[in-house]
Amino acid sequence: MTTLVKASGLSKSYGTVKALDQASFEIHQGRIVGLIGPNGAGKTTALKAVLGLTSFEGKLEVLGLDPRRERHRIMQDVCFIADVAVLPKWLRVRKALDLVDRLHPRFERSRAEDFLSRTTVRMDSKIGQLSKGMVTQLHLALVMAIEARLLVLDEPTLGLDILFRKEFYKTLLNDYFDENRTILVTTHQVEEIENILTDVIFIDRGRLVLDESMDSIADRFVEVSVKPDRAEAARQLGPLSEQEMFGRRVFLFENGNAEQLRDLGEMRTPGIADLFVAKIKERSA
Amino acid sequence: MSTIIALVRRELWEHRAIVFAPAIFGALFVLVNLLAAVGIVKIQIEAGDVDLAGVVGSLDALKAGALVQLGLALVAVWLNIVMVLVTLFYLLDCLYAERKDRSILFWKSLPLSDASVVASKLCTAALAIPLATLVVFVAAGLCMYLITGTAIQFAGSSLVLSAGPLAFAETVAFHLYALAVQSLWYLPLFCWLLLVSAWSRRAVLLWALLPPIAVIVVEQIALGTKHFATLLQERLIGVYPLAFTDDPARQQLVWRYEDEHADVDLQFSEGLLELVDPGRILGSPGLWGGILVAALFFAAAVWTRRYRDDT
Repeated sequence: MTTLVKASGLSKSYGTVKALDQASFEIHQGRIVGLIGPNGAGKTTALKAVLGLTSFEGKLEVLGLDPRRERHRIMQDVCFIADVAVLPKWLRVRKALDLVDRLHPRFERSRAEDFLSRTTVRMDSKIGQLSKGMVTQLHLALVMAIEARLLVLDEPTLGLDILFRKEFYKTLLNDYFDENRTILVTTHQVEEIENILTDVIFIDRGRLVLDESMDSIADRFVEVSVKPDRAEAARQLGPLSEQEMFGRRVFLFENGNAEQLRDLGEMRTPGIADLFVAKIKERSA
Repeated sequence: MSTIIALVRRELWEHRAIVFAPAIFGALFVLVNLLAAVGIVKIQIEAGDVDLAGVVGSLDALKAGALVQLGLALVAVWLNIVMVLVTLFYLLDCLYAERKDRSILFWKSLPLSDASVVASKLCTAALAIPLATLVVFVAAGLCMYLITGTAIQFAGSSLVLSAGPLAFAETVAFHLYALAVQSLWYLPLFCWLLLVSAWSRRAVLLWALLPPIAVIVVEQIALGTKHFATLLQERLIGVYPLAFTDDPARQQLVWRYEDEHADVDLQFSEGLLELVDPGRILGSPGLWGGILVAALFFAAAVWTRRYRDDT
């Protein structure tokens, strides 16, 4: 298993605000890792550190290199989409392809053209004239045509309608991702990506709250839907959270005893969003 | 190197004014010239009390050549003013706009070192813009020479047309030299503007001008001297006295036009290239000191683009 990103004790403060506080994590090849947190949790700061776009304290290796000193070598193998609409507005689509073709040694122009031909993006349009969704499609086309080892996406679908968002992740999963590629994505629309993620990292106020693979989340966390009369019994077992849904009480347990829980009611793997809320609340409590 | 070339091309795509501004001025000159030529022809046809043939008849080959060079020099000077303004605004914008519209994040997603990006901007200012201006100059100059030559031919003298090619070639070579030394001499100013462009959050022009003005004012108040102001003035206009000969024997006067009404006194030396004297400027501490300062500002601009984090 190849480790692409290795961070230990990663810290960064903006004035008195700690954007990252002793964060340690690893990202391995062939995974799709979701970095999930509320606004201002430090997601973007963590990505910027990985991409060598900001200074930080602590140790960080990306592809074995230090992003502070060797960022332009790292960028040979790392691609990123920072946000929607950062492509230069004055550039025409065709010239954008020309340019990346000249500037990126791993860019395969025909792949980008092929992808764009399946969209409504026209080659001689100016980027400034494209809709937000089309700009994202163009950016995706550029990125997918680059033979990169790590793709970093920071809120890539922000401000897009649901059709574009679905299409974006579908394309990424079907046409781009394979065991040699790795994707690191931040979003706060967790529901949209939870079924494509292999790993999740929860981050809150600069600290990591959870760092698990999706498989082990299923082993570790369990959601039990309990009839009101058994609620007190469930509470005795120390749930992470409790909420009411359709007249039943829904409890979330971490490392619960499966036998005991099965007695209480219907068990299932919790959604990432619910788990996230529970973990953040647990930390605040 | 191919990276730099691709990046300079990208600058020309983005900053269309680099080509358009001088081209518009060049076209304007050609237009004015065309109207003037039509005027000459009209006078010739209506031939009132103006003895056009007499005026034209007083031309000799040297005067004809000087006439061509006079016209071209006027174009060259104006294009140069336009070029300096274009360069100023280009440099102030080139590292600032990409931060303002956040497209810097796209450029930073490509495997480019900040040094090569900043170098491409400097190459655009010091090489591409002068070359574009020279191309405009050659094109406009050629049109003007043909228009004027034909008009004077019509008025009865073929001397302008025949003296033109040599005079024209000389002027272009002269202009090329002037642009080259000017670019070298202006390097510290270019790099200062790059640094301001990479650093400033807003009001780039103000940030470019305020620090030097502040230094001048502080120096004046604290020490009562004007060294920095003199230095700056030297940097802005001091290149020409250094780049061209100061030997009076080589600045020989060969053609003088005096008009008692207009008080015009124009001088031309035989062979413009006689004036070219790279020895003094290449040996001047001003040039090399300037390049050193430019290198410092350049490094600071690269560092700022690399580590400034305001997106």
